[in-house]
Amino acid sequence: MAAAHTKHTHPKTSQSPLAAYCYNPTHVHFIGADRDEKVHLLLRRHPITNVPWILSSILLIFLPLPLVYFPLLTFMPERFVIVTILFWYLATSAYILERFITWFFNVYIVTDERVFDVDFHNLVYREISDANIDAIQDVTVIIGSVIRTTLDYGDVVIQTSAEIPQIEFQAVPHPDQVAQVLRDLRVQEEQEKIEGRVR
Amino acid sequence: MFPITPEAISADIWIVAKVFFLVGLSLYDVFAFVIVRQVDQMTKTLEVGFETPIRIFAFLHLIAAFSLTLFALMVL
Repeated sequence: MAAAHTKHTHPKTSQSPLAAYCYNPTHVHFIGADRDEKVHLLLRRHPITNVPWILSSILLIFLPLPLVYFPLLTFMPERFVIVTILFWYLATSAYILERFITWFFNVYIVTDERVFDVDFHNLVYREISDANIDAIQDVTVIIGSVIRTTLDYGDVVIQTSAEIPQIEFQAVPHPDQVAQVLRDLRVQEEQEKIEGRVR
Repeated sequence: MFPITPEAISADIWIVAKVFFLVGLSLYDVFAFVIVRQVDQMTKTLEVGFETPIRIFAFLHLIAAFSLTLFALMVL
């Protein structure tokens, strides 16, 4: 079975916990996984998708600096100005943390039995969707722009016959390879069914 | 009766501002605590080996929020 996944070439993948494309990750544990379930892919949005919020963060960090030259807060006593600026940087750090963990924990996981879409829409709302590999009916790869083509990332849309009709891996690196892994796993699952080795 | 002078009005305004600042910072403390709890939940949902730095950052943010509230209480 493992041979089915090693016969085709994979892009150079990292085992770093911050990697956006991780093939056969070794240290992944997630809620809802079966004990003998093997993770084949751990995916996140491509790192380039973080650029807008990183630029915003840099802007937020440097935004109070003009106050040195243009003292707009002179109407406030100095102690209020200090607290305001400290609060600004505290809120900026919270923004950076929130954006980072949103990227970090919104993952797509492909195991030998299921596909998972783990979504944290904000700090208090979590949604985990999953579908069995044998419920996958169609896998579509969408790469829709010059930057996506250049950097090789895009969406992988998985149509299923499960309760959740569609699972979408958004802006993941190497979408063709992801589709290939899913195809291999479906073939493997079919083979297991024929041989009567279904878990 | 105390005379109502511009200085007295100004002092009253900054007392009101102080109350607003402290209420705002207290609410922010609650938000910082929610972040810590949520990071805890997230790291329980998914473990990939980078949980400790994220937990530390969230905890430092909470400590900084509490410290700023105390600082504001003392200096404002």
